[in-house]
This record gives sequence, C-alpha cells and structure tokens, in this order.
Amino acid sequence: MTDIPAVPELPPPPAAPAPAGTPPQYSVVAEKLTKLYGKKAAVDAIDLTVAPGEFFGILGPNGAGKSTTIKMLCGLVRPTSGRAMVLGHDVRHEPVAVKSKIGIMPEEVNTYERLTARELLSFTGRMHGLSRAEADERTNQLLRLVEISDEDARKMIVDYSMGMRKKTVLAAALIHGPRVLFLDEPFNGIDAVTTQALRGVLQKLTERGVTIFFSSHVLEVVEKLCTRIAIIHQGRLQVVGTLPEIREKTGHAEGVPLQEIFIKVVGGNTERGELSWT
Amino acid sequence: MDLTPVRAETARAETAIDWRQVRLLLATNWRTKINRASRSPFAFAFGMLLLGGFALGAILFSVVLGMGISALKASNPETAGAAVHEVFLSVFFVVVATPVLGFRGNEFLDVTKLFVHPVGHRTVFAATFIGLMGSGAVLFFSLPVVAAVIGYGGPPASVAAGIVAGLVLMLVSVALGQLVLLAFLNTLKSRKWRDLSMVLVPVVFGGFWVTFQILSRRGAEGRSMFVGAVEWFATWKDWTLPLPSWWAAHAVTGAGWARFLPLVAALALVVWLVRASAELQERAYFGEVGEEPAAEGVSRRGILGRLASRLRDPLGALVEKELSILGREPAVRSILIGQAIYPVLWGGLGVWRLMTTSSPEGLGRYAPLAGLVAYPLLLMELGLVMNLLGLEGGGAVHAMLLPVRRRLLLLGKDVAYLLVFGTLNAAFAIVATVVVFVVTSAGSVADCAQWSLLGALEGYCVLAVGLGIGNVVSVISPVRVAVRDRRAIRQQVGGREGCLRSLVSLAAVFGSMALSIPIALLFHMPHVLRLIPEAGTPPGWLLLVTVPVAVVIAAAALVGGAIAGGRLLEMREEDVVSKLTKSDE
Repeated sequence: MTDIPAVPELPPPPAAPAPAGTPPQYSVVAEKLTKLYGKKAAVDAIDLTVAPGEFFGILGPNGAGKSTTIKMLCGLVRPTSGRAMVLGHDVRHEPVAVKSKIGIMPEEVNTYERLTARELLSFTGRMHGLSRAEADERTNQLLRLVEISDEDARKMIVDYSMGMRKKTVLAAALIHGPRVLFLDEPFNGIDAVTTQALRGVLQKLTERGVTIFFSSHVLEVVEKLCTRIAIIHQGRLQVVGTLPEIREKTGHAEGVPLQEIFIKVVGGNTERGELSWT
Repeated sequence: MDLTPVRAETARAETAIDWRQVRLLLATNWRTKINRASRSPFAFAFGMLLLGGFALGAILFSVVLGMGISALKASNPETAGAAVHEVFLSVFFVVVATPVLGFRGNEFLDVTKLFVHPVGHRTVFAATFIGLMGSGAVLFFSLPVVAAVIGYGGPPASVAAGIVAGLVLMLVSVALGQLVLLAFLNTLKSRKWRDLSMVLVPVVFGGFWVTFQILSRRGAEGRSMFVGAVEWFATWKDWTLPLPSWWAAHAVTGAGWARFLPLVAALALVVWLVRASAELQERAYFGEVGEEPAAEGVSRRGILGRLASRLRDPLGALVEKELSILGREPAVRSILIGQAIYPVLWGGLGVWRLMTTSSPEGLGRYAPLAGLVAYPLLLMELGLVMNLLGLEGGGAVHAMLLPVRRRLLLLGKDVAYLLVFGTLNAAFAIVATVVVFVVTSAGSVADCAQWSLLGALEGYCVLAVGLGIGNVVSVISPVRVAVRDRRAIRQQVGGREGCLRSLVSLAAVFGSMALSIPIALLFHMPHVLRLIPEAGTPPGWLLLVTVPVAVVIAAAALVGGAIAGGRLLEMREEDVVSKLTKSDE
C-alpha cells in the first residue's frame, strides 16, 4: 500500500454518550427500516448493526436505496416504518442529538455558497457548540488536512470546483469530532492525492473508535478499507458481513474480487453486444 | 439490539429553541450578504448605491405619502382613510411576497441547507422569522406604514395605537410570507421558479418606481393622479375586509374601541400561522417538503431538427447537436428571460408612444415598419449570441477534439441559432405586420403579404449580423453558463477581466446595432426616401435592389465573422477551454 501522507492532528472526539446510563452496544442499529415514496419502497425493511470503530461500507447500484438509508440514519429523512438508533439515540425522535454526535457528508453538496471555506467551517463548529476560538483553531487544522490553501479558503464556495466543495464539506463534517461519520460517495470528484490523504484520515479515525458508515461505487476502495460490507439492491439488504463472510454466503471461493460478487448479487448483466466495426 | 427509549428531558431538548444558535444563524446570514455585496469593488459600490437609493427612496416616498394623506384628510377625510387602507394593503402584499421573491438571492431562506447541523426545527423557524422581521423589506416598508398613520393624524394616543396596528400588520405579513415560503419550498427550489423570478423581481421593482414617480409628481396633474387612484380604490376598499391589512388600517381610520377588535383577530392569526409554519418546517426537517424536483423531460426532435438532419455532415451533425442543447439547456431559458426586459420595455414603449401620438389612420403609415420588431428581439438574443461557446461548458473539451475546422464549429452554431432565433424573429415580424395591417386597414392583402415576407427576411438578416460579431466576441471573451447539478454555474468574472468582459460586451452590442442599421435602411429604403423631400417618389423596383444588398451584407458579416472567429479560436483554444471548464473536468 502507498504511504499515507502525514496529516495534522484531528480534533478529539467527544466523550462516548451514555443516554440510559450504559453506553450503547452498537453505534448504528436499524430495525425493519423502511422508506416509501408513494407506493414505491426506496428502502425495504432493512436490518443492520454497526459496532463502534467499524468501517462499514454500503454498496449498491444506482437507485438501490443507499443514500436514502444514510439520510434516514442521519435524521434527514423520516422513516415510513421501522426504527433506527445512532449512538443510542432514536433518529426519529432525537434528530438533533443524533446530528450533534455524527458527521455527515451528503452525496449532493448543498451548502452556503456565499461563505468562504473558513467561514463555513467556523460556522459549523459553532453550531456544534464550540467556542469561536476553538472552532477557528480546528478550522486551521482541517484546512491543512484537506489541503485547501489559505488563498482558496478566503474564496467563496460558489467559486470552488466540485472536488474543493467536497473537501470543504468533509472538513465541516469532522470539525466537532464526530463519533460516527456518514459519508455518501465521499471520493467522487476528489483527486487521487486527496483521496489517499482522506483514506488515511478515515483509517486513523476508526483506530480511535470512530465508526464510519459510507457508500461508494469504487469497489476497490471498499474492499481495502471496510471491515464489513452490506450490499443493497432495490431497497432490500441482500447480504452483509466481512468480505470472507460475503464470499461464503454467496458461494464464492476465497480470493474472488468484490466486484465479481457485487455483480452477481445485484444481478448485473456483464454480457454486452459486439461492436460491428471493430 | 440496542434500542434505548427516548428520555423526556432529551425530547424537550430536541424541540426547545437554542437562542445561541439563533444568534449565530442571524450573524452568518449577514455574513453571506456582506460577502455577496463585497465580491468586487464594483459590486460593493453598486450594492451601497442600491442600499442608499432604497433608503433615501423609502424615506422620500414616506414623507411625500404622509404629507399627501395629511393634505387629503383636511379636504376629504373619507378618501384619506381609503389612502391608509391602500398603503396597508400594498405593504401587506409586498411583505408577504418578499421571501418568495428573494428566495434566489438569500441562501438562508432555503432552510433545508441547515438540516445537516444539530439544530432543532423550532430554532430554524425562530431564526427565519426574526431574520425576516429584520429584513430590508420589512424595515423599508415600515416607513410608509408609519408615515400613513402619522399623516392621517389624530390624538397622540390614536397615532401610537396606529403604529402598533402597523407593527401587527408586519407580524401577520411576515408570518404569512414564511408559511408561503415553507409551503412552496419545493417549487421555489426549482429551475422554473428561478426563471420566473428573473422576470418577476424587475417587474415588482419597476412597479415601485412607477408608483414613486406618480406620487412624487408636482402640480395639479400629480395630485389628481394620486387622488384618482385613491378614489378608485375607495370604491372597492371594503372587499379587502377579509385581509389583515384591512383590520390593521381600520384600527387607524375607524372610530371607537371596537376598531381594535380585528387586531386581536390578527394576533390570533399570527399564532395560527406560526403553528402551521412550524408544522411545515418540521416536515421539511424530515425531508418531506423539499424533495428533489423531477428530472426534466428530453425534448423530441421537431421540425427544426428534421431540417438540420438534411444538412450534410459534419455541419448537419454540429447543427443537430446545437439544436439539442438549445432545447434542453435551462441556462438558455434563464438568459432569454433575463434579457426579455429589452424587447418588452422598448417594444412596449414604442407601441405605446405610437398609439398615443397617432390616430389609427396615421398608424397605418407605420405598418410596413412592423418588421423592425426584430431589433429589440436581437437585444434579447445577444446574451446568447455574444457567448456562443458559453453553453458548451465542460463539453468545450469535446468540441475542441472534433476533427473539423474551427470556423465550422462556429458555423454549426450560427445555423442552429438562425433556425431557432431567426425563425422566432421572422414569426414575430409576420405577426406584427399582419396585426398592424388588420388593425389599421392600411394597404391591400398583397402589401401585407409583401411586408410580412420582407419582415421575416429582415429578422433572419439582423440575427445573421449579430451572429457574425458574436462569432468573434464569443472566442475573445467566453463565459461558462452551462448548468450542472440543477444549478447554473455562471463563471464569476471579477477584477480586470470582468471589466474587460463588460467593455467587450458593450462594444459588441453597439457593433451589432451599428452593423444592423444599414440592414434596416436597405429593407426600408422607400420609407427613408419619403422622409427626404428632395428625393422624390422612390421607384417601385428599389426594394429589388436594396433587399438583396442587405442579404449579401448580412451573409458576409456571418461568414466573415465565422472565419475570423475560427482563426482566433485556433490561436486561443487552450484559453477558451480553460475558461469554459472547471478544474475538476
């Protein structure tokens, strides 16, 4: 594996929550979690658990329900039925408590474009209850971490490229030291060097007990980073487990790449027509 | 499984308003406004000028209004009361509409952006409500309300009560505005609303300006217009009784303690509106209001597409591709709507002046000139014509890789624009000519047909001249306008480059108009000659000579522009691509 670039020290995560006197056994719990849009089930009765410190990857083809699942777990979309707990908080009834302890990087960057990166990070930190001085100090560290120069940090986000926007939003998701990090397609639009740096940061976070729940189409990254993987298709959870467990459940031999398993699980068609002119 | 039940104190913490966060949200809202205004020295100066103009305008307007109502009360108290009602009604509608009209300009009105933060929906609601109460619209429009109350006069206690009534009116208006904002959040986030607001906002501001002009006119004419407007309103004033503006105005103009009762109803309405808005806010908070708008349908190939398919490739392929972009790219709609103010204003003004200064018979003399409608239309189209490469966006890289001469790339665009906008100009010219001939009964059917056809041809020629210049300007100063991720990402040009861009645009507009003038003269030579007494009667064959000359000039401008633009593009390819693409493309 390539050397991971040195990254500045991250903000310390907050003390583990103990809502009912005892720390929760799992960071994320979903029980028959369902979201209907009209009659169509975007997510259909998903059950899953994610332990503290896990690097959990959720895979699925476009429209499989990955983003909706993440949005429900973050308290951004209300489940139609079922229940979800994040760090011991019910996402339906305690969305503010959930959001105060998690970091979110949505797939679509929808943020204040007339703020600079520095202002957005400071604002986010203060929304999480940090003092201005503390928020500014963490902002400086995070800007170095995601390699946004001082000059760029003074520009408004409206002038950023997609990669820069994603880096800014990721930095904002980290400023309060979240216990669980939800990342929806985090590596889309980010260059290889930054991707490598961010992978290093994410691994460092999991070593410190932070749970990472992320979706990605880059199966190679998922295979390398994730301790457990879930494959979702048409809103239903198809298979979940470590890579060896998934191989065993899907009847694949050891060493079969994740891509092959994924295509088989989601029923993808790898046979394409021939080109008549080649 | 670890499904710990919610504790009561946690539930309370979820719904309580966090005033520290409210203060932070209001401060950050200000920060975005300051950032927007101080983007460049020019933007800052313009913003300050606008703000100063608004403040001064609001103060002057209020003083004039107050004095007008005061004078009116001395001569006709009933009409003065109607004037107070009229002011309250206008302010009510303006304040209700402000959040909706200002949605595109104020990021903090899109509350869904806040929901990734640990902030309760009541906190967001409180911040939005307070923010709107302190907004420029409420502050500026409070002045005419206060002026109307003071101008209407009465004992000090009545004036004080009237000002309280005005405050209640503002509360109701803001609460209703917030409800409308939340109820239509999905619509307001859509492209269609963005396009519509580009037209609505200037129209509303134009309305204020006209009102101010009428009110501030000195002398008998101004006074009679003001009194006339109020007297007209007085005839249907009481139909507005169901509106809170009537309730508040009645507290100022009515008599006895009972006049304050509707104010109690207004306060009850505020409470109801706040509750209803809070419910909508909660739904938005859980992603149940601001769902993603549905994808726009792909337009099918129409007559123009079929026409383009008859052209030989590669020109045919280029034209077809350009027609597809013009039909599907939302930025095209936005730019055209934004520029539509020119033909509407100039064309409307011209028609109005002709109708007010000429009799129907006299108007008939202008019937052959109806084809001139293409010129204000060209002003609308220049936003696209002077930035032909702008719609390429990231596709500019692809375009530059095509194995065709650069002049052909531009010619492909020219032909597509002629097919779309040339046809639009021609259609307008035909309709305008036929309407004028029919309304004024001037000339025969043959005359009408002749001038309709000539008007249509003139429409194409005028656009061809614009395209000729556009071919060069588009290469010198390309600006990215393509839409991605449902959002227009107009490349922001500032500083020296922005200044240069403005100068180039200005020169291009004047250049187009200057080159178009000979076209107009040649198409309307008989009418020009009639203006010169010594020229005598123009011969019947004159147009047979001048019109082909005009067509040749237009064609030469178009082709010459494409050749010059193509050469420039070969030299500036790298620069053009870098300006049209983002760093991650």
